[in-house]
Amino acid sequence: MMRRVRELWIGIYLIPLAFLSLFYVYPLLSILDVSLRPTGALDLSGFARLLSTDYYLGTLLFTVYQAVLSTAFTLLLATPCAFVFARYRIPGKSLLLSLATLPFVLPTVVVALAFASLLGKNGLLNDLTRTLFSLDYSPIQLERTLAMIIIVHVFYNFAVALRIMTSYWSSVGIAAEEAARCLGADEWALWREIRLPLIRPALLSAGALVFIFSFTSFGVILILGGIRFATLEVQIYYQAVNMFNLPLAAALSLVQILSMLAMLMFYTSTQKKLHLALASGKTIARQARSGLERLGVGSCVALISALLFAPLFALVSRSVLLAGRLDFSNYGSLAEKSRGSLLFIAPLDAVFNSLRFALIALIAALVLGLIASYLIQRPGRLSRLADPLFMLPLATSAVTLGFGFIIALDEPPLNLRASWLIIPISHTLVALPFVVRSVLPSLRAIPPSLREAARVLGAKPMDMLLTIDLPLLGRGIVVGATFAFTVSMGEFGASLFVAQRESVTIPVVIYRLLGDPGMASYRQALAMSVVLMIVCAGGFIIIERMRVAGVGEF
Amino acid sequence: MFVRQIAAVLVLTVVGAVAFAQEAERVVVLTHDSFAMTEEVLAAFEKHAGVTVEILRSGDAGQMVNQAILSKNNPLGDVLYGVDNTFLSRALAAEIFTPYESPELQYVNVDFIPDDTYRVTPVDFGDVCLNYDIAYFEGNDLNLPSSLSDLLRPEYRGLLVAENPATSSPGLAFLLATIAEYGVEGEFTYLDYWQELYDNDILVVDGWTDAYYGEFKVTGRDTGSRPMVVSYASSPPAEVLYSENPDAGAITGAIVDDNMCFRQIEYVGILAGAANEGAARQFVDFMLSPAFQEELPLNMFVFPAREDIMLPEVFAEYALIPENPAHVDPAEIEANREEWIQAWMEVMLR
Amino acid sequence: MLRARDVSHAYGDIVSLREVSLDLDEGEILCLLGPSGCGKTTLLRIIAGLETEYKGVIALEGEDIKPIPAHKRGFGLMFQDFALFPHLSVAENIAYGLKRLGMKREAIGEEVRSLMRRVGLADLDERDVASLSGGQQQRVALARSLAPNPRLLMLDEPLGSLDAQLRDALALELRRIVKSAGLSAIYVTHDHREAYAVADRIAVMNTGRVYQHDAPRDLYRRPRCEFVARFLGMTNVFPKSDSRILDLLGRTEAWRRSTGSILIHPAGIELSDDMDSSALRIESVVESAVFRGGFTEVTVLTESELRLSFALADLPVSVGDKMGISVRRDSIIPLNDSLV
Repeated sequence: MMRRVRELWIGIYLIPLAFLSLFYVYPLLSILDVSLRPTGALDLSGFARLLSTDYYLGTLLFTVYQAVLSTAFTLLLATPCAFVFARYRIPGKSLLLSLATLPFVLPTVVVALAFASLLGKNGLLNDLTRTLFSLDYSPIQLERTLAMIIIVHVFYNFAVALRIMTSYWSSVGIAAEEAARCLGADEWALWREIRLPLIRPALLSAGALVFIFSFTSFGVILILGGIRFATLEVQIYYQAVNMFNLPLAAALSLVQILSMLAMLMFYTSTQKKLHLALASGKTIARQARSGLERLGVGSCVALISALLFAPLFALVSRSVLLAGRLDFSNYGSLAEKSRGSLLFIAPLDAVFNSLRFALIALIAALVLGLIASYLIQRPGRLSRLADPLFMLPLATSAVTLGFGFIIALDEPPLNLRASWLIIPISHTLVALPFVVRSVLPSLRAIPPSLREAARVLGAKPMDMLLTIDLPLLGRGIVVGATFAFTVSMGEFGASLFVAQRESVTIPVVIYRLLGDPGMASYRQALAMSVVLMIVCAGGFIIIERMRVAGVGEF
Repeated sequence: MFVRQIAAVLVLTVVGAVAFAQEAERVVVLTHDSFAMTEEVLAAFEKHAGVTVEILRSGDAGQMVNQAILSKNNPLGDVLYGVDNTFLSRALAAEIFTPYESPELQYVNVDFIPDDTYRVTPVDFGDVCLNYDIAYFEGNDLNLPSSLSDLLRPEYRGLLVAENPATSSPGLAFLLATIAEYGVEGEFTYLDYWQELYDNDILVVDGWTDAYYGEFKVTGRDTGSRPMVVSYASSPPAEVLYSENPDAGAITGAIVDDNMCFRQIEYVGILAGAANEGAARQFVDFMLSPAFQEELPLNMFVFPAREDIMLPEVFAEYALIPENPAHVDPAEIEANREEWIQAWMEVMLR
Repeated sequence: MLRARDVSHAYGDIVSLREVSLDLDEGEILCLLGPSGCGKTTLLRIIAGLETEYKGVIALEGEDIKPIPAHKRGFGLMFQDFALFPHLSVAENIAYGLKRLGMKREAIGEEVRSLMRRVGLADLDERDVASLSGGQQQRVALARSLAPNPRLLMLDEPLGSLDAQLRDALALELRRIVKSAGLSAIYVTHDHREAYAVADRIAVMNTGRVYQHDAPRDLYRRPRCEFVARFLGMTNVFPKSDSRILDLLGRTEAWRRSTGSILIHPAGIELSDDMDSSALRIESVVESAVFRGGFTEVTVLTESELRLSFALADLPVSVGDKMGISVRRDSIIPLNDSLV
């Protein structure tokens, strides 16, 4: 009986590992094999090229440099906001938190347009300052600078850090902090010595994700940074697609994966186990009372509005303004299948396709991600290795993995090259790390005594999961689910691979519309971007609702 | 028995319908993600030929060719459409095509046929040229440049935005036009030309979308600041076709003087090892048929390879086709692409 | 030293303190005694500076402390669940307040070692706080709050999570340590026996009010209202209007002075062979007898069906025994409920 149970658990743990092996490790190894042994003999010319010049070393250093800066700025802004969100009652807080995730769904091209219309030479901000101070030049010159890259990375990643930290911070009680205050700690000492050490697991989790995202940034660097800046990911794409220099691309991919792996191992090892049972207990958000507290809440909401909503607002206003007047004709035309073109469905029909894939990816990523989190949380070497392993898909160049899919998954029963299944599978692969990173810190903070108590009270393992773990992980699961949903809604690389009606998702439509010249298609693309945001915002609200209902039932 | 059927259906869904739907007459077309055609025309072909067509998009043209090469031993489809003259040599060198001489080739401009073994068949062409904002040039009483060297003159300082050849297909095409004009050896090479373009404040961005929508200034649109952009000869008619007010006429124009444009020709070929070569041949013939060729301009903003096709009204009125585009041999391109781009980057990205 | 005048506080709509007034003298240990939810912890947190929204005045040496933030008050607070810093070792926890005072590293080390000796924690300095037992954690928390040598030490149910035996011993030890350090202290508990053992004075609280504020002995002898009497474990409380009590006592002065009920103090009930003439003599039957070690807790039913409990020195009694008891007149105590 006991053995049967054990075997069952091992079987369950194997599911996410099998998924990862089949859809990540196997394709990756296949493409590396083809790239590094094109004729059967090992071809290390790619590595030789890497080392022959310090050009690629420069690329690596720049990649690290901009990723460090992006991560630092993101955490710097997100940490105080997460604190405010965890501690104080703010009207519409959970909606605000969800909406902060919106930038994540927007295709880079659209974000670039939004930022150009906000911070560009003729952007909103320059217009405003010119008018206010009667200047005859544009004071903000950020186009194609490193600063612009960092700003947009912060824009993209702020919500990742904010949501992970807020959810964790809410599960850390304030007793330790009050004790420190009585012992003479001022606000500064509290941050340095109590708060930051206590939320270290969440800080590291969020930092790791943001770092990986900035490290592997592609579209943002290309479009907003301009050609002076190239990350490893950009180099890999260039070498693989334009030059078809697969040995070099593979060498670069390996450098990227290995440096990420090293970073992740370091991260896992430094994540010293904190005995949070002592510090836990919920923080109940309360009304901001003193002037200082109100100021904190106010500036956080202002920061989020400025950072996240100003570009989105610029986008929306652009989509409805035509030559200074309100004009919604571009929205009206979204319901029409404008051309009789094959594969070109009415833009609004793409909404249903997007939602379908997002739902599949969300469920798959949640189930696999929860199992993976339990696996990682178990003591043992395998678990320590599993943690960075599940993060690696984020660190792998999309084009490398795409080529891997083509050559690896080409035989029945896994002939997925042309199947729509490849879309939710790749979305799940990318969404998994988000679920794991959102759930894991809270999972580690559940004191074992709670489960023991439940067991003594007669709870079977499944009861324990439903009555103890899931309700306590509720916040983290919602955050993970929101990100899984968002990642799927915004992704379009995989959707482009497969050409069936059901594979035409919202981002594909936007991409298509932007590829056509003409004001009408351009404005339709803007309108479609706004539709994408609205659909996502709706999704967020439903996900939040489900949590409330779910916890109530459990 | 029933249970078995259910199981079979489940397996079908889970494992991917494609692998199982092995009907006799099916042709899988591998293409890039800009591919478009009308449904009715395709349906007519399917009915006439008695085959079903499945379209498989595979990223941009470069990605598509690379995938076809990688899956050479187990081809992704029967037909590959959309390889252009900048990637043709790579595809030919990898021997991914089976020769086929379509009877429809007799209607095609002979200059477009790349070799006498018919491994690929030309379908359409498009020219990468400078586009300009008509209102800006008229308003400032400025003449249009009529050669590449004109672009170095001070009156065009800071007016042009181009794309990075490393990341953009029109960017590469424009680079090739300059290489055709100035060469890679001698006193004044294409690199010297670009050096002077750089000094004349050319802006280089990474993609066509960013250049055209982000930086290109068109009167009446609230973005961009540069009235000249590297785009396509077909952009002005498309701009009219998709403008809010098509009757107002052209707002942009293309400059098609000699040697200022680079012609991209797109080809179709039957993949070696195609599961259904007969149907594949029918599809190639279909792509050269008037029905398909006639709708190319409106679907993909390219011009038909057949010479006997009437252009749609808006193209007939607003499109200019360069008489003497620049030419670089495809084999040359494949052999030197990396070196040329690398050298270009060193000049432009200091 | 510390004066609280008319302190009121509410969490939203829930009133937690109603016009509480208290005094704490230099070197005195004041106990806040009451059931959970009575406001005692809130009062502690207000004094510590952790709650700043309150009405009324709290003054230290005559100076209002409202504007002083928690970290500048120099008070020590030992939390109910200890609130040890989970990311710091035992020694680092204790050293925390000393570091904040800007003490030199060597001096801190020495001080921490001496504190650990004082609370009986020697050799545990590098241990992870989570690996300590409840008693050890309690000592760390005490050492930590004592370390900066606070002007006022506050202890919130410091023995709450410990077992009874350890509790009695530690209560005495706490008193000894606090007294030997010459500290003024406020000690919060819900256990009256712990309060008797530790306090110089006790304030009994309920529903946000102080019901009585007295030395332990006075509190025990003369509880002033029914709540206090019952909370101290006295059950012989009867409404003034109960005819049986009037029959038994007559209209005595105690009866007249009471505004609510009458307490027959268990310490004044004895076996009736005591021939003291000032005592009431009552016949009764033993209803229950619980042996408590040094004494037996006896509940008897009188002829007039009053149920009385008291402690009886070591004598064998069993249920059903007839027993003549006497009640000393000075142990009939009027309980004044309108004073609240």
